[in-house]
Order: sequence, then structure tokens, then C-alpha cells
Amino acid sequence: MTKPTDDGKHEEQLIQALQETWSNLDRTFETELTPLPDWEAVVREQRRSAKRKMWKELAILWSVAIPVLGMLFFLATGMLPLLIAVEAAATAAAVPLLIGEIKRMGRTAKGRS
Amino acid sequence: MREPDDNRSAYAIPSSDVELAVLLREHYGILFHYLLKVTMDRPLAEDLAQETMLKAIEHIRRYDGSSKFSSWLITIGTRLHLDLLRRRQRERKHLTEQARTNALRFETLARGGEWTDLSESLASLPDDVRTAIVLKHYYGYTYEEIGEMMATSPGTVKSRIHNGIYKIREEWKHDEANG
Repeated sequence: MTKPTDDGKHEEQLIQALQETWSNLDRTFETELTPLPDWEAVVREQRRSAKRKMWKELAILWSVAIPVLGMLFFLATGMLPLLIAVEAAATAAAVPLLIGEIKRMGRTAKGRS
Repeated sequence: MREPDDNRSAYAIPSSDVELAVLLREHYGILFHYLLKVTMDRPLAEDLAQETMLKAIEHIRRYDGSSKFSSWLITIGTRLHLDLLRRRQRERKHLTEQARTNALRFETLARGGEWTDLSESLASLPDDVRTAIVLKHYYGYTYEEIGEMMATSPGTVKSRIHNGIYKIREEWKHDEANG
């Protein structure tokens, strides 16, 4: 049975051997750095891309938020019945148009077959 | 303790694109070598290093100088690697460990480097265990710092390192006994 101190020493030797192994790996795979202007170009492009992504996400957020806020506004000001009436009228007008469009698509599909 | 070579830019907060580019360029080697140690896969280490750099540029405002810049990059790289491992497990799409080890062994020898039994033992460890061991015994981070980087508890980190070192030690003893 090994003494605790032997165990500790053995582990220390192992850690040193591991560190040597890792250092060898670093030396074997040395890196070559690309010129600074290339890095600057990457930074500029990535920042531009991140900004575009942020504006796109904001646009999506507001396209959902504005109608919801609008509904809440109408609700709060007691104009909700008016909003419902306008939406009902718009739906009533749209339904015949939709039926017509479906019939037209059906005729086109029959014609092709 | 072997700290990443940070020199004067250790805690610098870049205030322009040029400063950021300089900082990233200075730290690329440190980051790549860390990722190579934990992935034991050169192409993957390069991909992760690039992805880390891009993430760092995107989130540079989150770096407040309270830790070394290299530590911040290592944290990003570690989490990207762990996310990739989770995705691979879900998708069951990955080279076998042996294939990756063979590739690195071949390339190391082709470059005139040394591939020892210890290299083999390290390569056979699970990635999360190897990551914890590298961060502790090469870079000298504490269990708490490693837990922060790997998004896990210090207790789990300690357990991984202990089990990993135990496994390597047993194989090392066996190799030494067989000469």
C-alpha cells in the first residue's frame, strides 16, 4: 500500500507530465497570425451584421407590439365597440372576395388538368 | 500556475474597432491552443476559435474588464464547445472519438511532434472532464472560476477533475509498470 505522501508525489509528477504534454501540443501546432487589416475588416463587418440583425429583430417586435398596443388603447378609451364594428365590416367585405378567389383558383387548376 | 500570456492588454476594454482587432489578434493563439487541448481536434479547434472571435465582437459590450480578456474568450469558447457537444448528442452526428484521436495523432506526428501514452489517455477522456482538467492543471483556474466557465457547480468540476485524474493516473501507472 502506497503512503499518502507517495500518492501526492506521484500525482504531482503526473500533473507535470500532463503540463509538458500540453506544452508540446502548443509547440507542434504553432499559429500564424493573419495581418491586422484583415482582423479590422472582420470586426467592422461583424459589427455591421450585428446591427442589421438588431434592427430586424426590433422591426419584428414593433410589428407585433403596435397592434397589441392599439387594441389596448381602444379598450382603454372605450372605443373598442367601434374597432369591432370596423373589423366586422372589413371581414364582411373580404369574404366574398375570398370566395371568388378560391373559385378562380379552382377553375385554373381544372383547366391545367 | 500557468496563466495565459496576457501582458499589458490583460484587462483592456477596447474602445474602437482597431483596438478590438488588435486585442483579438493578440489573443487568437491563446484561444486556439486552449481549444486544441480541450477538443483534441485541430479543425474543430480552429472553427470554435473563429466562432468565439465573432461572438466576442458581437458581445464586446458585455466585457467589463473585471476578468482577463483571455479568460473571457476562454469562457465563450468553452460554452460554444459544450453547446456543440449537446447538439451532437441530440443529433447523434459525430465522428467516433477514435477517429478524431487518430486524426490528431497522425497530424502531430506528421508535424514532428510527440504523441505519448498520456496524449492517448487525455484524448480518451470525456470532453467535459478533459476541459475541467485543462482549465485547472494547465491554466490554473479555481474550481469556482471553472464552474462559472462551464456553467456548472464547483462541486461537479471537482468531481470531474478527480475522476479524470484518477483514470489517467491508473493508466499511467499501468504503462510505467509495463515499461
